[in-house]
This record gives sequence, structure tokens and C-alpha cells, in this order.
Amino acid sequence: MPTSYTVHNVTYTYPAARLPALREITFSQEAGEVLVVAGANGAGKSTLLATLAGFAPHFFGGHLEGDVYLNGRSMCHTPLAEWVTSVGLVFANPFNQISGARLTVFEEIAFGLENIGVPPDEIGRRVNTVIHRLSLTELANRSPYTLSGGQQQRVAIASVLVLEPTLLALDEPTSQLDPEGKRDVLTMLHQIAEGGHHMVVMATHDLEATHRLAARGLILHRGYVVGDAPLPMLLARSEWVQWGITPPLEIALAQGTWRPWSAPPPPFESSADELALPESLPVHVERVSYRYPTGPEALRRVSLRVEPGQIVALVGRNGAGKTTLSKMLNGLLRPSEGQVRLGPHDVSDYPVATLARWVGYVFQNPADQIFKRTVWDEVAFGPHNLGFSTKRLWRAVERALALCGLESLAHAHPYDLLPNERRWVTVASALAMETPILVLDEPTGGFDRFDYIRMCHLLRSLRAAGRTILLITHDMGLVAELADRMVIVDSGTVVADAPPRQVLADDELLAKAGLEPPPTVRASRAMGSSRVAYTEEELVALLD
Amino acid sequence: MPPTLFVPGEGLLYRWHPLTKITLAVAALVLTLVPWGRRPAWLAIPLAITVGFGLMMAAHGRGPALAWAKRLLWLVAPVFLSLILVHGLFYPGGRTPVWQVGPLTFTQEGLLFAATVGGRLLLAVGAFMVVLTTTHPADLTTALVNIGLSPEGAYLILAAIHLLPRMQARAQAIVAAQHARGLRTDGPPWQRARALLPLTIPLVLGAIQDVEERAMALEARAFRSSRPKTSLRVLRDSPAQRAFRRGLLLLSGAVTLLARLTA
Repeated sequence: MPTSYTVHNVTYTYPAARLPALREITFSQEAGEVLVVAGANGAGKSTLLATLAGFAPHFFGGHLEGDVYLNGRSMCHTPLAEWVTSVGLVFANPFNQISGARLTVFEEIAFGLENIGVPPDEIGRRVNTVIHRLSLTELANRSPYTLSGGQQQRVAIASVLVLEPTLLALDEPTSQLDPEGKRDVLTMLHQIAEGGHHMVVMATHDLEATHRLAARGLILHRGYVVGDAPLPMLLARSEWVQWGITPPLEIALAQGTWRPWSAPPPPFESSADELALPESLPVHVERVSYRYPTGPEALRRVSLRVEPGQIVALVGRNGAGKTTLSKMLNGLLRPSEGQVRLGPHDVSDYPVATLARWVGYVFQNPADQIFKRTVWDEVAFGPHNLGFSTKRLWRAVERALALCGLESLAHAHPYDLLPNERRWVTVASALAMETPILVLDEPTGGFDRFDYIRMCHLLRSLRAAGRTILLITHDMGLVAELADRMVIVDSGTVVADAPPRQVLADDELLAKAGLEPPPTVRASRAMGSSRVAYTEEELVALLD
Repeated sequence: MPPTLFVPGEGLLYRWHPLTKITLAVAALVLTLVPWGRRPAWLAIPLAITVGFGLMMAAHGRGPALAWAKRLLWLVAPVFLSLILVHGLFYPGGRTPVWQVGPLTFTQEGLLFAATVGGRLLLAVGAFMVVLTTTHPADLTTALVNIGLSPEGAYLILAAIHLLPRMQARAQAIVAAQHARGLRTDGPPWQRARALLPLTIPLVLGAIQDVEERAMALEARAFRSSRPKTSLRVLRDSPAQRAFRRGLLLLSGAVTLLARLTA
């Protein structure tokens, strides 16, 4: 019998939820196939994967109608501990996937094999194979907790992959990976499916990167399957705008359904005057070095300047030193050598709480800061600490909520929000502090098309208002659209600092730093144009 | 920082089977529970054994020894201080005043009682910290499973042991995030107290969430599979170590019995 699974008329409702998260879902998949599940945030993608992996309802509880059959075996009638040996689930947040039971990356990957009684010799062989395939050799003896988000994501995938599950389900498997890591992981997933014995299903917003390896797509919208067909056919439909997905540029261009990110207009209005602040500050980083107490040298004589009204994008491989460098700006890390100045202020002269007047920082993990009972109070926390007057605080919070599309959620509990909404809360929290300098660490991670467009507009407005913005991202499209300068950090040093179109034109440099040109560049090259389009606007001009 | 108390190193303690080190710690714990009486001279016993553990750790290099000493200090010092205050001032059998501060009087009996309890605590924590500092977590769980504990039970012990460093790592991230929002954790006491909520709520909520996520992570890795488990790490044991363990247990039993009989 060929390897396959069937999802039969599944409707799933979480405990204490009024409405189902999945409704009347029916589809099947056969070995050798890669299936991409797409849809806006909250459409039910993660719930669908959790159902395939048996976590809904075996782990979460709740009510499930219908069933999932893997080679004829019922998920509902198989204990979770056995089901997971056939269906591997990789979570969206790799940090949560670390077992905490083992000390090194090698042991962490081996943990699952120990649990199912694989002999030690075979464990060693299988772990080494996976480590090699995922380029984890240099990290094998490191603690999983000391790795960057992208490195942890590769370890999480390796930990499940090593179990050789029949069905591999991955939730946003490339969201924290650098372009090189993304390419490696996707190629490996393609090879796994191609072998003909496994099935791969992944939920993702990144159709640009994944569409080449997935023949088929499943679009979810408010818990329903609204599209199940070959991916190019699905992406040719004009409804993708309503679905909140971003089709790959080349497909959308070929089908004539492509619309640039500036359309549709975002549901907010903000002028540069409204966002302007009385003070503007440049950032000067001069020959800064830094070594973590128990780790390698993270930065080596790095210099960087960001002027008011500029967006500078920090890019590079996972673990290159981007976040370390950005934490120097608000004093969370202090240089071992060199100096960081914010205009006339030497950062070393001030505590972090004082530097917060000048530097707003949006961290990657919203759970590290959220503690208030309402979104409004959470956003007001920073301005309150900075001693804003009541009137100014109200104005700042209301404006930040509006800019981030959170007005209707102002009185919601932050822990009841979707992950993308929580991320917006952290952005609003930083904006409300009205700082002349803003640092955003992977601000579009896990965002759908709606969120992405909003973020692009927001950053443009802030730049026009004279804010100094440092953006840490793996999204080369975002860099090309927004950044005035692109700074490549590699192994703790700056290897390029120039306008994006200059850096992005240098294929050799990009390849060396593990980066890729944005989709617009690839699309314009594929069109055979003599001019290269770096932004969506330029691509429109080229098409006209 | 990796959330573990284990500090990699080399030497005898690292080569010993985890059960040998656990037996040694248990024997030390038994010694602390023996009713030695409350004469000041007896206080030297737990102190001397703790110093002995300290010397053993020192023989394994600066890293493990410093980690052991720091943890011992951080864990025992606050408790010891509160013991001295509570029992020194309010011990019911306190008769002999030794020091007067305003209306408060420290008594000799109270201070002696505080020192006895504090000494026991010092030795117990010191002994188990030797085990945790020199034993790889996977070896510890494997050893516990080998003597009949369920894998779930062994993991629970491991998770409890590592709760402290894991919380510490998370607390650092939370402190950084809240400092970046202008929160001050220095200054007068009222200001410090005000900073508690923004730091503890994400920490506690995160820990609660962590339990569910950790459980999911374990499920996804077939932790509760009914198949017999294997271990990548090989535990080395020897007849000499087994004999040493038996001897220590017998000795502990004999000392306890003797102390009971002569009490």
C-alpha cells in the first residue's frame, strides 16, 4: 500500500473556545509530495499541523470531529506517544522545542532516538548524518540554549528529522533562518519528499522561498480550506489579497495578478509632521569589540553610523553578531573596546533605563516583556517610566495603537492575542516612548501580507519624520524597499556598508555572506531586462 | 547561559558513577540529621565536612570549584541570616543574653540553635551541589532510571533541579526588555518594589507556559513511548565503587543507630 494520509472531515474546537479553529477539513497527501499550507495569521495553519501530529486533541483536549488516517491507522485511536514516531512536528518557536534534558546539540538531536530505543551505534550514525545535512557540525558540542534563533531552528528540525517520520509537519520552518540556511533546509525537505517514502507538509507565509519545492498548496481562511490545488493554480487566483498571502513574485507576474505592496492602502493615516519629535539623534559606533563571558568574540572593531531620517538594515547569517551590535545602542551590552555615542551622549555614561529615552527597542520575543492586563496599559508602561505627563502619555499611546492597528484590541488581554498581534503590541510599546532612535529585531517575522504592508508604511513614515532606524532582518525584499544603507555583518565584523542596490548587485559578496538578492531582482533578471528592479515600484515601472 | 548546574570538567568526581556521588551526599545528609547535641564544638563537624567537599571541588579546577562555592553562598547565606535573626532574637529557650541592640536581645541558646540548623543546611546543600556540579544531567537521569525510577520521574527531578538556572536565564532576558522600556531597578526601596511586577509577571507566566511547551517538546520526541529506552552516554561503574557505596550506607546506618542509642 502506498504511503499516504487522509484528513477526513475534521472540525476542531479548542477547550473553552466558542468557535472551531478548523472546519470541515478534508484532504489527503501521498508520499513524495510537499504540501504548503498558507493563509493569514489566525487562519488555522498551526492548528491543522497540530491536528496532523495528534496534539489536537490528544494533548490540548478540546473537541474533534472527523479523524486523520495515516496508512489507514486512525489518529484518534492511537496514543500520542506512538503517533509522534510516525508524524514529526517542528514548532514555530524553536526555543520551545528544546527538551532541556540534554546539554549539547548532538545529545539533543539524539534524545528522540534514545526514547524509542535505537541502539547507541545507530544513534551516532543517524545523528551525524542529520548534523551534516543541516550544517550543524560546528555547533555539535554547543549548548542548544546558547545558539541564535536560526541555529536553534535548524536543531529543532534535525531533532525531529532524525526520527525519520513518515509525515514531517513543519510550522514556519524558515521564519528565523538566514537566506543560506533557508535554502539548505528547503533543499533538504525537497530531497526527503523526493525519496518517495516521506511526506512533508509545512505552514508558511514565505511562498517566495517555498513554492519551488511544493507542487501543491492548501489555503486556509478562517478555519476553512478555500483552496486545494497545484500551487501555481492557487496563486493565480486573485483572491490572494483577501487571503492575506504573498504570492511568489514570478508566478504573480506571469499570471498578471501581482500587485505591489503599496496597494491596497493601509487603514491608517500618518503624516511625517505628526510623528516628528523635537530631538533627533545620530548613532555612532566606533571600533567596538565585544566578547561574551563564556563565548567567542562576537564583535571585532565594528564601526557604524546611522543618521536621523535613515533606515539602516543589519543583515548577515544567524549568529553573525547583528543582535549583539544592536544591544550596544541601548546599553544592554557594553563594549569591551570602542565607543558608542547617540549624538552628544556617550552610551557608557548612562544606565539602560536612561538610554530608553533615546532608544526604543523591539525585541524578537514579546513574551519577555508583556505583563499588563490590557494592551493599552502595556503600551503605556514605557511612557509612564519615562515620566510622560498624562496628556502626552494618552496622546502617545493612542497614536501608537493606531499606527499598529491595535485600536480595537486596546482593552484585550495581551496574552489572548495571536502571535502577530502580540508582536504589534511590542512595536506599539516602543513607538509610544517617542524615542528618536528605533531598533527593530526581525520585525516582520511571522507576519502575513497585511502586517507586512502595514510595517513597510510605518517604517517609511517614521523615517520621513526624522527618526533614526536600525533594522535587523533576513528579509532582503524589506531591505531593498526600505533601507538607505545595508550593512552586512559576518563573523563579528562589518564586511559591507553601502546603499542596498550597490550591495545587492554584488552577487559574489552576497554569496559569501550567505545572502540572496530580493525577489524583484530575480524577477527582473528572469524577464531579461537590462535594468534591475530592486523595489516593487521599480518592477512596476519595468513592466509598464 | 545554558540552564544547568553541571560544570564540565575532569577528575575523580567526574569519573565516579552518579550513584556513588549521590550516596556520598546522602551519607553527609544523614550525618547532619544525627542529634549531635548543642555543644559549640559539635558545630565543627558539618563545617569540616563541607570544607572537605570544598577541597575536593578545588582539586577539580577553578571553574567547578568557584561555581560550587558561589551557589553554596547564594543559596545558604540568605537562609542563614534569617535563622540568626529569628532564632537569635526569638528562640523560646533563649536565656543567656550575648548582645543587645536597643530593645532586641540575641541569646546564646538561640544563636547556637541557628548555627546548628545552618550548619546542617550548609552541609546538605554543599553535598548535593557537588553531585549536581560534577554530574552530566543525562547521566543523573540514566542512573536514577537504572535503579527503578520511571523516566518521567527522573525527568521531573531533572526539571526541578534546573528550574533555577532556567529561570535565571529567562529573568535576564526579561530584565533587559524592561530596562529597555525605561524601568529602573536601582534607587530607593519603593522604586525597587515597583519594579517587581514587570519582572515577575512575565517570569511566572513564562514559567507556566514553559511547562506546557516543554511537555509538548517531550511528546514530540516520543518521550512517553512505551518502547524500552536506550542511552547514548555509557555510565561507568566498578566493583570498588559498588563496595564503597554499600560501605557508606552501612556506616551511615550504624552512626544513626549509635547516635539514637546514646542520645
